[in-house]
Amino acid sequence: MSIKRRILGPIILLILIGIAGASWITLAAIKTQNAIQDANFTVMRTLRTTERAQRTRKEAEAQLHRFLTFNMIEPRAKIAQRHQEFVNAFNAIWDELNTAASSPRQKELTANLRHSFDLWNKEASITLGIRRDSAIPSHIRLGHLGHRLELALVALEQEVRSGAANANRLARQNYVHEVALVFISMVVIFVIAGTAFIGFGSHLVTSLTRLATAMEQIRKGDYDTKIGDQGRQDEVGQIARGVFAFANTLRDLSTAKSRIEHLALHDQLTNLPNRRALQDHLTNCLADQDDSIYQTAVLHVDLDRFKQINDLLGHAAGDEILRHAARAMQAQIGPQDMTARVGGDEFVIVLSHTTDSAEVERLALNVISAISRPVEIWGEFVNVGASIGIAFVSANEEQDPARILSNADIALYVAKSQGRGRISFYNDATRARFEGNMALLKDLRAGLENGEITAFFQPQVDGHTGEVLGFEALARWHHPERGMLDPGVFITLAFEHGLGDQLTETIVTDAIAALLEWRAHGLPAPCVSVNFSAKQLRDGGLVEYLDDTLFAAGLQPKDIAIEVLESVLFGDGVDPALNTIARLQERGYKIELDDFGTGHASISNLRRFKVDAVKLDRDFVSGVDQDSEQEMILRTLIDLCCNLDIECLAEGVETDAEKAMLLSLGCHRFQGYGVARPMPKDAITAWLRDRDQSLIAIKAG
Amino acid sequence: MRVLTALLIGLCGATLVAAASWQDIQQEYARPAYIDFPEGTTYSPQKAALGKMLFFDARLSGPQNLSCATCHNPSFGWESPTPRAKGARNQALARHTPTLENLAEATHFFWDGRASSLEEQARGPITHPMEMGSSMEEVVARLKQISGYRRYFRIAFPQEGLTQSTVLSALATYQRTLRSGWSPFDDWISGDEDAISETAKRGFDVFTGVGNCNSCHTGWAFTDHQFHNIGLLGEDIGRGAFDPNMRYRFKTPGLRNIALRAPYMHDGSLPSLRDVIEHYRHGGASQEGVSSDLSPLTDMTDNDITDLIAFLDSLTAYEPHVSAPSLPAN
Repeated sequence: MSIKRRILGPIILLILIGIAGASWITLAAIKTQNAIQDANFTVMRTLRTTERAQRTRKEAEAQLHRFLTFNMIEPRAKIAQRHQEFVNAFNAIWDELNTAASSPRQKELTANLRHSFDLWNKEASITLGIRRDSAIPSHIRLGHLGHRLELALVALEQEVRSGAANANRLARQNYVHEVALVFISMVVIFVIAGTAFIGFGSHLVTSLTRLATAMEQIRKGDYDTKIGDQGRQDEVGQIARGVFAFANTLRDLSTAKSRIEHLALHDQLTNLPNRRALQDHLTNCLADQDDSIYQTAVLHVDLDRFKQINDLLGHAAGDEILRHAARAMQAQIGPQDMTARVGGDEFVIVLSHTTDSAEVERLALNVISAISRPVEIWGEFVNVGASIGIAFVSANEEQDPARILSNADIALYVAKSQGRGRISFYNDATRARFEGNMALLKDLRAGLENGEITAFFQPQVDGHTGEVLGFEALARWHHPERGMLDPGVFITLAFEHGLGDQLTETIVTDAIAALLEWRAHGLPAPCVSVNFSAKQLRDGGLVEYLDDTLFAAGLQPKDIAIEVLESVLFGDGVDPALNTIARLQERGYKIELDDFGTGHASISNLRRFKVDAVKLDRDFVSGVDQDSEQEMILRTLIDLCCNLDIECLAEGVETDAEKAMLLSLGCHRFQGYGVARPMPKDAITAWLRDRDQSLIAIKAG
Repeated sequence: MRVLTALLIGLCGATLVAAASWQDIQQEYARPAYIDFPEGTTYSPQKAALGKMLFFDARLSGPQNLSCATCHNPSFGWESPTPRAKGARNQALARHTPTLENLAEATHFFWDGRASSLEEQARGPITHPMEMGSSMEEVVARLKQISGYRRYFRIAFPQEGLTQSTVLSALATYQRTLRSGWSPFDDWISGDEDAISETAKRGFDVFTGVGNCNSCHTGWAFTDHQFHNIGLLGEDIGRGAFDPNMRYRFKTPGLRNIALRAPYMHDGSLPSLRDVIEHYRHGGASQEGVSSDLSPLTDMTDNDITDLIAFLDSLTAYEPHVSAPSLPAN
């Protein structure tokens, strides 16, 4: 049975019993009252009758006395009639009394009354002459008989009264007995029901207390607390089952919560703490560092060539590399240190117990060599390098974790800019330089927007004929404060910070505009060379971009030469840059290899891709007329090109001696101050015109 | 212990004896419930009422100057407060007026008992020239002229009507109904100890003891209806006129309402009860060789007399009143 029923049932039962008891008592009271009233009514009626009887008796006696004073003479019949009236009246009364007589005693008294009356009547009748007799009752005798009659009436009256009182008493006694019976029954019922109810209540309280204890245990986190009463069919059972389910849910939620917390602070791939965890850890370290003899060092590790591996071997390989790097770093640090992954291929190591920079440097180098160990992925061994920027937390200076991380980042930047596999310590000068670069970068962005970057063009001419072969478009920045700036100042910056494409677009746009203008003026402008970075070649979309732009300008692929550094050809066959180069060649673009001879150009690639031209670096050209060894190198390079049927152009040609030497070595394409300085578009227009006229003049002359 | 037991038994026995004698006394003095009418006479209330009218009607006397009630005055215990009442001729009569109460059972009437019924007695005073000085004829004739009486007689005596005998019968019937009223003595006899004084109770003891009064004044009416010589000196020989052996004897009168009936004796010679008792105390005087029935009461003391008087007073009824009837005028 349910608790509701077990609670409500007895209460309703008790209420019903209470109502029944009250009704019973009320009914008994009404019954008693009615009985008493009835009895009283009967008694009153009887008493009225007896009073009437007394009156009648008195009147009859008075009449008798009147007759017996002998002061008048009435005929016998009349006397008899008048006497008979009273007799009749009394008979009627007696009938009433006899009918009303309820108890034996009353009947006896009524009979006695009858007897008394009959006696009186008999003797009165004699004295009244109604009845003949020789013995005439005396007045006194009649008085006595009358008195006896009166006494009989009084006795009856008293009996009636006492009978009524008795009946009332009995009725009340009955009522009291009934009330007592009801009271005792109700007390018994209430005691039994109350005991049962208390028993049930204490049982319920015990169950609830047990449940409450279990719930308290669950609240404290003990989700495996044993919960009883689950098998019960009542509400306690429902609650117990609910609590059990609740505990299970809580356990699941708690597990999920710890997982979420772990996930929130950890990198899923490497299971290393993430940036948030790092910040928390760093904050803690900084807080603990006060008055410590140890220093905290922050190492910002960035994997070299990771993107390349990612692109070439896919993300799964990249992930494997990352895990490898994580393992490598974890192996190098102590238990109180931390390695966190803060970006795609960026990690931060926090060393909280360092004493000097040499120790840190040694550790950093160990980290690099550990990361650099070849990793076998799908049967292939893959190498990845790492650069590390290191920043120390000075007890009295940097306390902002973000600032310290930024310091390490700057150091890393410096390390990277110095080449791969390096480590760099942060110092204030580094930051100053870095911040200078950053300021310049900011200006560069603005400059690109405002058109401060424009293309200058340096002509390339044929040494034999003086024919203009083309132009190299070179970026020039007309800085509003610093004046004209060379590309060396900002190109690297632009490419490092993703402004390369925008810069290249500007140059390409200017080149096309210049070509169109020069050709519109009927000036000889065969093509313009534009520099592209290896990264731009690797990123897709270059071919389409060039096609679209040239098409829009109504130009042909041959009008634009793609100038790339020979280092592009450093990679193996899977480098997408090589693929792009192949596609560009197919389209008809001319590929020129810049700074040829300084890098690690693979001769085989040179052969394989068969670039259209190479540009001999100014280091080989300048002063070639004075250095026979230099002349030998140059000759070899030129011969190589000639033999491979690759055009060859000398950069940095300044003097006529150099020109002569180059011509003698077989290279007749020149670019340099000896020919012309890089000039704005309009200056080139003018230069071309002058040259045109001078050529005409020469021809004419 | 034994003595005590004996004492207790004795006490109980004495009480039983006393109780027995008291019951006898109660029986002796209990009033009869009924008035027994002699044979040949009948009772009816009409006759009694008619008799009462006649009893109070002065038209029954010759000169119509006195009724029966004139001398038999109910206010004086149906007697006259004079030694000898005066008759129609305004002359003193020979004897003191006797009472009329409690005579139904009597067989002799008048002091000398010359009448044997009340009817006969009634005729005496009416027709005696010294008393009412009328005749029965005159009475009947006179009554017949009164219509009321004619009607009453028709009612009371439907057959006979108004005759000499019906007049006498009516008077006798009325007189038979005359009973002395309930007295304190009756209450005492009935068991009410406080009804009479201790003096009266002692008086009763004297009456039945030392005084020996109850030798003649017997029963509830205190009379033996006999004739006795009580030693009163005088020429009247009483019953002796009809029986020589009964000279100087007179009828014993009842003692009910005796206090109202002074003076006493057949000649009214003793004005008070004390005188009467003193007379009896000394014993009656002898006359002409006829001794009285009394002997001197030597043991009686003065206190006894007082007690006896108190007892006699207790015989006076509570309500001696008798109402007078309205009489038909013509």
